[in-house]
Amino acid sequence: MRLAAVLALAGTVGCAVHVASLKVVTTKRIPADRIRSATSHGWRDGQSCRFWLVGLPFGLPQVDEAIDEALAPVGGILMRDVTVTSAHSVYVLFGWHCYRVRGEVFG
Amino acid sequence: MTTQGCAGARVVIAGSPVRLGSWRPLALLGLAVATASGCTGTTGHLALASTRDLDLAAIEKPSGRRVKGRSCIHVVTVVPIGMPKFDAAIEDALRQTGGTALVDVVVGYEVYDIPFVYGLACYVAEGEAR
Repeated sequence: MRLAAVLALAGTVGCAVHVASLKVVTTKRIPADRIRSATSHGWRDGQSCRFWLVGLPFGLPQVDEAIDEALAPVGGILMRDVTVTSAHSVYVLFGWHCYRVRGEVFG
Repeated sequence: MTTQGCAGARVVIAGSPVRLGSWRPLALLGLAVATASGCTGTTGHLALASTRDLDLAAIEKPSGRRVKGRSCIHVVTVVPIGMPKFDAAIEDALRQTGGTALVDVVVGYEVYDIPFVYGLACYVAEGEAR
């Protein structure tokens, strides 16, 4: 029992790597004058995750989903100074792969 | 008379000697080719993405050239040499035209792999440069 617990703990790992820094990003088509008039709604986070089991992924996380999650609560239209991170959580035989975004939301 | 031997040992089949060692490189090459694989996937659709200071006048232009950029890393045995970055893939695409932003962007990845030997992993960004 103790050995099983030690093995489970040993197999529980996670890592996150930086995959992009973007000056501007948006998931919706916006006219340039709307971008010019947009005001800051603060820094926000979003993420998109997919589960995997025994090495088999149930889909791929989507960067646009993560961005939309950050934009939606404040009605934002674009993000500036965005950092994108790819994060993996592993619990022995299953885990999650996520994209996380953080940036200043404008709307 | 048939005897089974280790790699490189002399095996005598029906009285004629066969050198196993001479088949080994060919067998390994065959195994490498048979296990080689590749896959691609899409990890996002973006209306606009830029790694540069945005020129708003430029994004109002009617259309630009569709370009594709890549950021790749090598995987030696199972060890990745670095990490691919999708901002580098966007930058690679922008460099081809001198634009400041990509519109209608598809972000994906490509992985080519000979298990435990060598692999190539890339982020790919394709979009219209403005």
